[in-house]
Amino acid sequence: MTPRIRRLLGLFTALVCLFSVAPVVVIVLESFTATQYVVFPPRGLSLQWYVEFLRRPEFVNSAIVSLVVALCSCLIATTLGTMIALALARQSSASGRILQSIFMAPLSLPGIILGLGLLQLFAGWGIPRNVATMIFTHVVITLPFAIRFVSIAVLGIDRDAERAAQSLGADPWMTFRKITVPLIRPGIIASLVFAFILSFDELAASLFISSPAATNLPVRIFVYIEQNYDPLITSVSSILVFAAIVVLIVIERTIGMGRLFGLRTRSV
Amino acid sequence: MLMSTHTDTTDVAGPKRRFGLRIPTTLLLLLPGLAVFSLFFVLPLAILAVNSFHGYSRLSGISPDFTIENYVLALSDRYYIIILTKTFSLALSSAFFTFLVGYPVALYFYSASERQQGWIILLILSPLLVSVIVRTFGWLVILGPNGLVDVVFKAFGLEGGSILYSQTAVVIGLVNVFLPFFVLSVATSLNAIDPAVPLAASSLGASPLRVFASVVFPLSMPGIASGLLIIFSLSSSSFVTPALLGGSKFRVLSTEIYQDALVLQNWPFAASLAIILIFIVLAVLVAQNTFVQHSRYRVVFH
Repeated sequence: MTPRIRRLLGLFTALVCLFSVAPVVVIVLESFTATQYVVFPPRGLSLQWYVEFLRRPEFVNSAIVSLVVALCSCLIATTLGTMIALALARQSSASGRILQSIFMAPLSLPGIILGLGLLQLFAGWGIPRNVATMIFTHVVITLPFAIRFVSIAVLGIDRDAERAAQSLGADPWMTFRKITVPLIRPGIIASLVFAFILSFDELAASLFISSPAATNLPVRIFVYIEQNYDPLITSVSSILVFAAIVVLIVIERTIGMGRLFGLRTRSV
Repeated sequence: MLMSTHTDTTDVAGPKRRFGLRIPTTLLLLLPGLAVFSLFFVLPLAILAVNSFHGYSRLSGISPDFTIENYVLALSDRYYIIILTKTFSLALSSAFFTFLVGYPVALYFYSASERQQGWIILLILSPLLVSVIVRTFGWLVILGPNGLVDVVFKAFGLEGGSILYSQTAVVIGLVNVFLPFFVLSVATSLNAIDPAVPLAASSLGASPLRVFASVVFPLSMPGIASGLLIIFSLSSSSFVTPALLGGSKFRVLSTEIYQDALVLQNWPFAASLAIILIFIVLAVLVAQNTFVQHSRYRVVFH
């Protein structure tokens, strides 16, 4: 590559990076506006829209629902994902691989279709639409990631470490606790934080299964935007951004964004 | 005879005992996951498939008879043909523009220093952690009334030619949301190129342009193909972005499903549209597995 082309490519890449983060940055900046209407660039600096958020019980309630659903579903999905990964990751048999790809199927299914199917299932079978059913819906959506992340960690284990523990007299449970778990911890952490944020952000499927008993924050935002256009949503949306920043920091500290998505950088 | 039977049983007993331990463990580990999976994934899809063959009337609701009327209507009525065409054209154009925007970034990533790579990963991938609803709303603020584009246009004394509520706005939103997947896909296949290959080409006298055209670009084709298919599939089923940036008159398959299911309450018809959408996504998936060496170029997503 000639230096001139490289510079041009670099400039283009910088512009695309700007394009990539623009909508998120705009939302966070706008959330501190002092105006009563949406205007960008924002005018003045104020926390009034955050105060307004706290004054609206339906938004606070949805934030709590989102948090509870995300916490529970990331714990359940990671537990189930770890069990499945332990059972299947080392299997090279055809049935093992078929099972693995079956568990990956939700990745390819559009959220609105899953949501529509669940809506018709719940209505037909008289299953209530509440926090619990939302949790399990999110478990299905996040499970493929949990299985994938833990499987990668399981495949990275040196099996001799487990054999050594067993030959020194550790029973299977002790071997699992003292050897396997610490070795697959990065995969488990990746699974927990990624499943958490995926559930916290989930809209398409949740839109169909939300009810007065359980409406998560993305659904609340969607429904509000359809009717209104004011800066309140920028402060509510910023909460989703702040959650993402916390998750980003945890990922960067543990395995890194690049590795999480299977991308090698120069140093590796 | 007796002896041989005896040895047979001992021969089988050894491995049998080992399996006797292992199969139940595997099964126990899989059982809870399979239960959740069957109840919340397989069952709803089965119910959708069944309901899509039921009739519906506004007065009596869902009728339990078997009919293919929904599919006939969805695949022959002019209104739905237009929606299908629109869905395809939206998916095609967002795949094409994601390629235009994303390919140079992946190319630069391939040759960038470690620090630059870190920045690109951070800025391109981290928006994946932010909900689609937030990123789409950001475009509403940028493209909408009194938004960034509007303000800039007015500053130059131009009529704020609003592109909000148009296919252009939807494509901008979709390219923004799906860009990381495309960059990941291409960067992964570029990373797989042995650096010695382009080096050999240039040391044999090929110009930088020639190295790109005859070596790097062809070797990145699997990543491009896979990326394009992923974006096509994701765009054809995306809901939030077309719903919010396209406005109420912008109808694609996903927004129509939402409308039919939640506003009109015609669940059987919504189910038949959903099944059609599943077939579109499946067709893309099959294409991906046929044309792309998936195991090597597959990224974590998809």
